[in-house]
Amino acid sequence: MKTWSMAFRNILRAKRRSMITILAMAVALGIMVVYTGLMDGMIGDMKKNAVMLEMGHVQIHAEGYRESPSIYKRIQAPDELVERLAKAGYTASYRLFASGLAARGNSSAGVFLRGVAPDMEAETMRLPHHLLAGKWLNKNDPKDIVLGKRLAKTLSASLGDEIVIVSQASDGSIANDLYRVDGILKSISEEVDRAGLFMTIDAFRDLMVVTQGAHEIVITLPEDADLNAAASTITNMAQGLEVSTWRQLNPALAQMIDAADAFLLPLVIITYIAVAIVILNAMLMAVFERIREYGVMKALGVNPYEVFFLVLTETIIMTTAAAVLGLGFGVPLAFYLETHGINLAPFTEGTTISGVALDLIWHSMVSARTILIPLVTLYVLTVIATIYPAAKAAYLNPVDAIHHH
Amino acid sequence: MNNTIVKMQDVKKVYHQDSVSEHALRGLNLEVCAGEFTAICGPSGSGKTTALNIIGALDTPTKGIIEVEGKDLADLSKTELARMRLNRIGFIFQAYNLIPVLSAFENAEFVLMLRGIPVKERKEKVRAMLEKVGMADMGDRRPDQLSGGQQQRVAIARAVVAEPALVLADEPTANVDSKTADSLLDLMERLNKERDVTFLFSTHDHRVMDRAARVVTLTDGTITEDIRR
Amino acid sequence: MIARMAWRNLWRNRRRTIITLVSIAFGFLLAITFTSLSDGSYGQMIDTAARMGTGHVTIEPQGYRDKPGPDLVVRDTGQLADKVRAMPGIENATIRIVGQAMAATSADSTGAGIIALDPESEQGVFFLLNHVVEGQQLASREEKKVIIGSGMARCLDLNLGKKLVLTTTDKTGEIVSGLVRVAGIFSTGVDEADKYIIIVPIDYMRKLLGYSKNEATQVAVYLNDRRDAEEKSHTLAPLAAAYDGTALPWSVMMPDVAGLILMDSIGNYFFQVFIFLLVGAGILNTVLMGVMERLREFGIMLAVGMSPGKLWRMIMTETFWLAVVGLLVSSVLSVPVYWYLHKYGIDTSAWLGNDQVYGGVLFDPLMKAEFYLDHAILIFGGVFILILAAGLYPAFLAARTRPVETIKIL
Repeated sequence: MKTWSMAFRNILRAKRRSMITILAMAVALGIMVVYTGLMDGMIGDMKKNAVMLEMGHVQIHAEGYRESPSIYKRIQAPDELVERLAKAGYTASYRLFASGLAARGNSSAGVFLRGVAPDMEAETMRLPHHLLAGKWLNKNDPKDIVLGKRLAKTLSASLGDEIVIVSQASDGSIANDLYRVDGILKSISEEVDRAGLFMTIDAFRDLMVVTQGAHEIVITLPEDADLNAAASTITNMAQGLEVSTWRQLNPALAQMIDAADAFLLPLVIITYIAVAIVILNAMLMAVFERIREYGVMKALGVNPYEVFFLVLTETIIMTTAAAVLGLGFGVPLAFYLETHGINLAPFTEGTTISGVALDLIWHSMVSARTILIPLVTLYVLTVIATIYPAAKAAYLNPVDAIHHH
Repeated sequence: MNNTIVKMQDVKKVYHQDSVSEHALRGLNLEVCAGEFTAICGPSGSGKTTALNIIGALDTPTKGIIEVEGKDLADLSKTELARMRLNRIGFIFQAYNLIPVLSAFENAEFVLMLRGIPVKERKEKVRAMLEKVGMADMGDRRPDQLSGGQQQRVAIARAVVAEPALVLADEPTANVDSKTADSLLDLMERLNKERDVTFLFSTHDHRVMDRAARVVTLTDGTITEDIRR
Repeated sequence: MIARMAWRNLWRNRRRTIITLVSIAFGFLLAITFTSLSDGSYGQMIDTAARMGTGHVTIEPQGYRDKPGPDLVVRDTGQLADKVRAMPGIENATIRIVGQAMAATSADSTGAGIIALDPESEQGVFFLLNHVVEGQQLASREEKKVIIGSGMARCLDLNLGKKLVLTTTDKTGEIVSGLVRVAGIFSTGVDEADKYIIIVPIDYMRKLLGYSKNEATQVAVYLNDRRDAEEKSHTLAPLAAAYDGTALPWSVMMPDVAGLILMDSIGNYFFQVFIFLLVGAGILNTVLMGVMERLREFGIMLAVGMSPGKLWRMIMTETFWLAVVGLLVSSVLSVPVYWYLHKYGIDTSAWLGNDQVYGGVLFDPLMKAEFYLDHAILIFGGVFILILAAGLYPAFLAARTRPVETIKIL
């Protein structure tokens, strides 16, 4: 097609300028692709962490427990409910909670006791696999406990140390026993890190005199399951109990995850405005350089639309070249960061957002939108930037143009 | 002949472009003395512009020796060549001689400014020179406000005010009408006589050739005629 | 005259120069906006964290970082605090005892973080005391009353006047308990505080733990300028050592906040540099085109005797003028922008809500800008160097012009 070959030649005529322009666009695109991947990765990981480490997708409590937790508000026959859930295809685990004081030597700390069935918990949640040191609980060793990261530090406890736990049992008596640290967790969440102390269900029942029932059933769903659909199915199965999704349990986190795009888009647009200015300038210069040519073309009968599209085609060709270059380095880099990630450990010990721990290795997540969002936005903005120069070329007066100095 | 200003000995110049060689000058032997008003002429492609470029230290010969004021240009470094052009040689080109952002006065002042001549002194010299070339009251105008002929006058002023030993003019009348050409040539003749400045033209304009005291004809890179009047 | 020529050359193509100035202003304003908003946000977070917790600089017992426990104390804290307050740059210093305990009612119990303080001197200083929503402040240093968070009140079903038992280990490691009443309830919206922290009168705590009259776990130091924290921690170190303590800046005491700020800053920094590079590419294009258009002119200038060095300098002077005008225009434009951001800020609560917690600190969704001279100078210098750098290649090309080739261009 004539327009395409003319556009190509025009681009090649100003090699340096075209190259600088294409390079700028390519770098911008590549970086936006990597950035989108990293942002998606961070949000995805945060969601995954929040849900899969500890909170689960859906939680079941006795009525009124969430409002004001108490050791007495329990779910009856949790084993049976878990079995029914399993038959319906949901992985579930149940837990018992209480507060107490843990002491080792001269240090003490308020702790949040968590009684779990080791195998069930390991199947449902990722927390049991997220150990910094030592190993997870074992059904046969009820005196073994696992501590949260900060708790271990507060108590200056390491593997093998003995910890005293003191609490008020459900029958009013003083609960008091000695346990051994078997494992220390990596950063999970603010609460677990600071005060989380995990023991087996049997050990809990013994210590706190809670012979039956559970305080919480936590359910994880397969990756792309519909959260609300699952929640309503589970509600039907758990008559008389309170069913909550992770969004209801941590609305701040849900809001942040939903708002993630609101963070991403402005940055992409700002970047591309900078690119758009480069294009605008470059195309203006290109048009003015050839203003006599355009004048001659129009005098010979080429209509304005064709001239407009000629200029536009130049931009589209350059953007496409930039796309190839930019994607060529951005996409492999994004994929590399998906598997290897950026190691943040030298910079920070870790931090929490909305109570959920941030991974120390920042992985990106590559999907269709990692490429589409930056790419489409680039085309849109460069085309918009070209409208003014293209219109100038299309609507100038041929006689004036030919006599242009 | 007393004072030899330019001496070319068997100067050859070959251009290579895409495996094709073009012989612009094939062994040029030329001597120009002080005070001459000489035209080098010939058809396009005869090599006259090339010859002028080599004399003006803008280009170097492929073979042969070029001496200006007794100095072999091949012995001079790039900086020394630039200094020679600044101090000893004046240039007038066919068109677009002037710097667009400078006024006529500032354009004429340009070379003196590069030389570092103090402001008062150079302003006086330029004022006098502009009068001489008939542009005294247009000093403030920018080149795009001057006609072709007026621009050339300013170019002449710039070239001569610096008191060079040699003025090289490459087709100075090509872009102007007859009347203007005549007055320009009048001017240059006068300057040649009054200030004893050597003028060397490259031209194929008969008006110039008719006025020149010596006409050197180049054909295909060699001198075919050398007539003095 | 070269400077004059350079200035006039800058305006030869007015439209092009104006577009270039726009892009410079764009980059500059972006940098100012991002930087000042972030600085404001971080500052607010740090101040909140400092006031919620342990001050901008904390003096705590030596060895406490590694093995926290009630057996480690700073002695003669009254005298120490007085000396600290007398030093320059210090806004205030308050004495605290911190530790862990179990809070229990007859019905239930939960773990708690104890902050024992002097109610009188901490009014208006300690963040949580400003957020008491029910009941009253503590009246004395030894009464058996406490202020708890709304989360804990809910969990333990406590109201004003109700009793609870605090159980903890004392200085010798013995388990001790005390019975107290709820005098007030605070609410911040941050779960980590509302569910967990109990404010206790300091002398009562001293009695419970078996501390002598002037022993305490920490002296929280508040600075006039939070950016001095690192430096002040070094200045205070020898003084602290005389009382068995060390001085630590907030970045060590609250690594989560520090970590978050660091990550965010790095991200911000990279982004701004990246935008600058794009703006630089645009400027390069513009200056380059300006040079390529004038090759014949340069040829003539070199022919009549201008040295390549002078020509190089002329192009660089043009770039210099571009930088000067660009920075001038940008600075003028940034004044109203900064003023607006400083006074009104940007309200992100529309998409983030009011409950975001970063690094354990409540994030104020209203982001207001703060101006730091050294950051402004950095941006200024960065833009200036960027523009000059963009001129280097075109200036080099100009100086390399060969008159013989370019004069022929018609």
